[in-house]
Amino acid sequence: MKTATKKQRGLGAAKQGVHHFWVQRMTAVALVPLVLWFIYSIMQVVGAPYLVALDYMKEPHRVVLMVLLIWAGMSHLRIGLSEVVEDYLPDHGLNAAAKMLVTFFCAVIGVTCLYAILRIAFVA
Amino acid sequence: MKGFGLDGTFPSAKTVYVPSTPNQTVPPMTKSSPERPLSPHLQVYRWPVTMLTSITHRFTGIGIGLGFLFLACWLVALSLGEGPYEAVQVFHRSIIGRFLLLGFSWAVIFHLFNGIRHLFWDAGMGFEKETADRTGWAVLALSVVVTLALWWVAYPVGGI
Repeated sequence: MKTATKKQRGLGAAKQGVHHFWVQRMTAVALVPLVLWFIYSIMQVVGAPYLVALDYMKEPHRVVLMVLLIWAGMSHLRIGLSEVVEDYLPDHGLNAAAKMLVTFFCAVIGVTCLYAILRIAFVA
Repeated sequence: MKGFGLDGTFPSAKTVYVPSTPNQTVPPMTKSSPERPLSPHLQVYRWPVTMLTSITHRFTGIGIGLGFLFLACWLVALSLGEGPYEAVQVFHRSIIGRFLLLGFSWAVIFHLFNGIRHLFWDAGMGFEKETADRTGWAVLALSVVVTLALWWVAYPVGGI
């Protein structure tokens, strides 16, 4: 038997209960120092010649922080954009398609950035 | 809203609820039916700053997502070599490039500041109407000031 509570529990527009809400807060907290660091770092290499920028981004701690930034950023972006889709696209088919698109976009951008960061660190 | 808990009272046992009768004409539940009553929507409100920061947070979030294309291009170019890196730098120095980067940097800074505001709200702090209004204006002003300050520093140094 399905009671009203059982039916409601763990559901919502996202069908995931509060999991997305919580991950969005965790990634937000992580992103505050990461973005502050990123703004500071970008200010150091703005307009820098190729080799200067390359050496700068090769630094091990910068590689780690960049990976963390991309990881947290893409997780945050995926949930954020999915929330927009959940709010504005009531049609189930369109909703599912748009959420897939959001996920693919974040995955492609994220993996591309990670590849480039690691290539900078170990190859370039 | 007397009698519905909002003033501390609840409907008494004597309250008579009149059920709807089958004779009543109910307008069809279609999207196109203009007679259906609508709850007040965005355009009837005078915009408080909290509404403005709320929608701006969402728009800047979407914008930052698209702006990640910048970062991806810059990183890939940097990993590939001097040629691709220079090409990306040339685009960043163009009028369109600068305009997009300015928008991207403001979006990041606004979303960062307003995101911190949201985190305080989540912790139950600063949610009073006056405080929320004040921090809303502060976040808007601060994001513009900080963005311009960063560009003022970066512009002569990087030529971007």
